[in-house]
Amino acid sequence: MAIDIVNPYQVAVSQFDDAAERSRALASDASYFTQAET
Amino acid sequence: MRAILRKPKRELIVNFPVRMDNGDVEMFTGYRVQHNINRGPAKGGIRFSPEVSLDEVRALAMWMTWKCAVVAIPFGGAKGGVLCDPHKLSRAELERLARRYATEISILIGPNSDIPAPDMNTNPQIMAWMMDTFSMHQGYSVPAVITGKPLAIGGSEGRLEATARGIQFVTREAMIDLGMDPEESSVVIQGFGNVGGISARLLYELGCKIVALSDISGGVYNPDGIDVHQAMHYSREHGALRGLPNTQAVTNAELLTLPCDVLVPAALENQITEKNATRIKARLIIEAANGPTTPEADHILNDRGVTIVPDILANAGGVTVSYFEWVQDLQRFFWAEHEINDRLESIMTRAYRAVRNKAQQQETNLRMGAYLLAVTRVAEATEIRGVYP
Repeated sequence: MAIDIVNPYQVAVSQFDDAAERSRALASDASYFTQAET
Repeated sequence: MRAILRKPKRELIVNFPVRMDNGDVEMFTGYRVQHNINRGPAKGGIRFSPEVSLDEVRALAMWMTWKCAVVAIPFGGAKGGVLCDPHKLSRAELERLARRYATEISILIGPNSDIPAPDMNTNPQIMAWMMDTFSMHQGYSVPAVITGKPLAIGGSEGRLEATARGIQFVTREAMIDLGMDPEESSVVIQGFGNVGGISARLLYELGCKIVALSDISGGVYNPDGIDVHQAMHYSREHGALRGLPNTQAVTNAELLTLPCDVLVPAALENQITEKNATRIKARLIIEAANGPTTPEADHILNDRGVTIVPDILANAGGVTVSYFEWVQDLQRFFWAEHEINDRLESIMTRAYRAVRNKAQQQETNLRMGAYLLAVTRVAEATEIRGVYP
């Protein structure tokens, strides 16, 4: 099978980072502990 | 919040001896990682493989957190693995390894803390040995400590087919959204194991034309369609799909780029890469495997307008029925198969629509929609619980 050498944890973290960038819930300038996106 | 969710909560590495059949003692290394437990007990499978690494287990644990959140079942994410080649172990050696590994990770697992399940190269029998080991230490049976068990000791109806049934439901929903008629759609499936094989049967029963299938021996292709029931019978009889009558042989790599409407990668990680993404013909990809598409390939396919139903949604049927099994074990009250399947359909359909709506609201793709939905749910639970002390 076609397998590239990819670190799966880096992929998982990068997917999370992409979501975190877009998520108002995780916006760095607005602590989610005071402002939740529901 | 981002820093909290970015790292696993707990990582356990265990090195342990197992007595082999010839009397020698060999050392093995295993892992159990809990990524997040804010929405409930940690949940995730255990794989036995020579490829297992701590980074792989970390990634799979994180994906489990998002997967449980996407389908809104009350679990956090975990994963485990043992570095070994189970095909080189006798049944007795495999049992001793499974029991010793269960003992080593028993400081983490439990029906209220962390509930393992089968994954690559593990099966209901291995889950039974692990459940028995945990129960021996307690002095009474604890069926809810493990899911994916045989029916005789508290397993659930429908568990074996659960992931594939979930694939069938999300494929049907995605086809409706894309205006595709199953009876006019051709499907290629990579992988013919528990997920790929049963997905092939269920999509065939949905009316789709299955034009190519593959297993570890390679792929088989017939543009006019393959009788999946015949393929399953042939595979059982010959041990592989290779040589299936009325098909031509293709490699697993060629299979991915065959003409089709729907592609279902149901084998390993990193199958769709920047090297083959431009040649993929499917307009809909259902990620039955975990992590079958690399990030680079994901960008290419998105730019080309290919719809991808992401793994954390598409293959969540397995953990959903694991949740049903855990609930049944805790209640000592068991449901009929049609109840399992009806509840699974309800959860998978609702999850698909929630992801689709999130993606539409945010003007993004289904993967990002699923992540936004999942991350928001986990963040909300974390925020409400607060930071201890």
